[in-house]
Amino acid sequence: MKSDAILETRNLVNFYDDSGLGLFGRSKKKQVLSDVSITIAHGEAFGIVGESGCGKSTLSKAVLGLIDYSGEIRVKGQVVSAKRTKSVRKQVQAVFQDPSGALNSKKRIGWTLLEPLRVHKLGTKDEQNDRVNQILELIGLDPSYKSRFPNELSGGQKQRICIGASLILDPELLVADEPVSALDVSAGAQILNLLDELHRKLNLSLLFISHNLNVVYYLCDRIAVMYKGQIVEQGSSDDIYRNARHPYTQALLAAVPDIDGTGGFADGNAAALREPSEHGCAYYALCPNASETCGERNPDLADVGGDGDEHLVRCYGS
Amino acid sequence: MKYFAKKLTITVATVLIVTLLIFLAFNIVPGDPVRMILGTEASQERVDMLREQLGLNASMPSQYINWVGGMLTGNFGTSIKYQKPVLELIGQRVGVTFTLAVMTLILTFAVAIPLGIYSARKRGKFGDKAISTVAMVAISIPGFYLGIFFIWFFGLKLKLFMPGGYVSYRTDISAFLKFLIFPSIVMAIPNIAVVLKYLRTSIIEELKREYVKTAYIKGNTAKGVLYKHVLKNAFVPIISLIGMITANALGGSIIVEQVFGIPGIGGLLIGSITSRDFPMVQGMVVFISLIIIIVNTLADVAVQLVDPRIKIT
Repeated sequence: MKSDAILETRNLVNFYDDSGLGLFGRSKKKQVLSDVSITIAHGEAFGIVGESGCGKSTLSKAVLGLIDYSGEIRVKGQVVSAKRTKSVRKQVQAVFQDPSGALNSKKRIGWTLLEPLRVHKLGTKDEQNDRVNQILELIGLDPSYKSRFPNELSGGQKQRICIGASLILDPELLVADEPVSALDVSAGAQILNLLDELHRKLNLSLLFISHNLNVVYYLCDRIAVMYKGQIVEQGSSDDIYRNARHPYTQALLAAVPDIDGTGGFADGNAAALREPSEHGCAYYALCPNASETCGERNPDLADVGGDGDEHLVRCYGS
Repeated sequence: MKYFAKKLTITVATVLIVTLLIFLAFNIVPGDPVRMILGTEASQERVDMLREQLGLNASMPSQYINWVGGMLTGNFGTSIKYQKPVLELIGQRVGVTFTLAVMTLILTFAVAIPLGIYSARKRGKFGDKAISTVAMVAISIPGFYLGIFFIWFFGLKLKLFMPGGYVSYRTDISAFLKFLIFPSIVMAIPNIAVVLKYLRTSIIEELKREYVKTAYIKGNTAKGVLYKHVLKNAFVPIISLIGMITANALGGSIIVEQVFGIPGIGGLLIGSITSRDFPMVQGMVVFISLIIIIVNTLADVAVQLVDPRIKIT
């Protein structure tokens, strides 16, 4: 375990209350996260990929203290619960998928940018204004934007404001949950460049969540692949991208369309090869090379990286 | 400015449609106003004379135009029963009803807003459920029943006010206002229930929005999120309820004024209907409709003004 870790999660578990509307409906609980453990070092960009519903957004909500969870989350070594103090909140900030929804439409941009400073009572009025101008410059927007309302801005500009508002507190970790998937390709690319630049310039730690492996590969130093609430493979971006060991990661990679139009789509609902197994591997039903053991017991994450770099895979076949 | 022009056009069109409907309704209703004035025994000559005098021999469209044109110059017609201009009679009574309506509105919002916020904050908990149940009962009770209950309980039992002891505002303004407190409570109760349920839903909807998540992450407490972010957004749909409550207050006052013995326009309207004072009824219906249309328009404009997404230029 690295000593300069910004964020550590240990055996994170979360249940989603799935009790129906029926009169006699018993509280059914669906497990969204099971035993998710990640560590993000200071200044590291950590990516999480997986298909929708795999629990990656739930993970981000747990990290941000927006939902209850069991297990352990440490921010800079200090254990935090879902009920956060202001000083903990200050250290972990977030950017979300939909910038239009994330900004209060009734408030001017200047107000939105000042709010974190006011809530945390940081600096005098003049210092706060200076900081806002500084942040606007950092995200590449003119100070005149302060008097505007969110609806006067484009999606990309709104996302810049969201990034600015989260950076104004000088956080240790920025959680970016699908920050470009609601934007068009060029605006999305600009936001990615901005995040990359900030990551390098400010030595900002990133937890970057996306369904798009290309995007994560571009931005992140390390990647974890999630499937049905579990991490199935984790390693350096290059290891994941070029040397994927888990059949699910391989399927994800095969689904990334190439520029020449080859490659296809990973069909999450592809015809199951066999009955899903309750105790076995989560990917058992779809895995092309599953054995009998895979159906009986879920494999543990095992390090397969021989070169010193950690490369964890949850597969008997690796 | 373009917005206001558009709004004004729509409002004028609404008024015209409403007057047309009222005019048609009163023409379809059986009964000859001339016979009503003169009685069935009157001679044919007198009937014909009055008919000519009242302009009833003209074609329907020109009758309508004359009527609307008259109203534009402030001539709402003449009451048959009182032999006075309709507008003058309304003017004598409207102050009382207006006071009652304003008191009802103030009371409604003063009680419903804190209760709605409380209910939304405690959603699903005991306090919220208790408020919801009481609100459901409050909506279901008819106004006249509640009025009679209030007279019996607060008037006769607790002697908090004197049933039937209405005092004109010309005599004693504080006694006048004091007497109106209980009638306005009766009128406010169902409105409170509606507004608080609306507000509760509106706040809960707003709390699900994405910016609420952001606000929490920025370090806001639950209170900060509610008061600095959510409430302003949640109030917008409530503003448009003001129009509806005004309509309720005016409609409700007809019954409540009867029950409490308040000489407002409600009593005047009922009296005019029973004595078949057609011009009076017609004039009053137009008057009440006009007020409701105006209040609704103002509420719409207010909604636009608080919403920065719509630029009024």
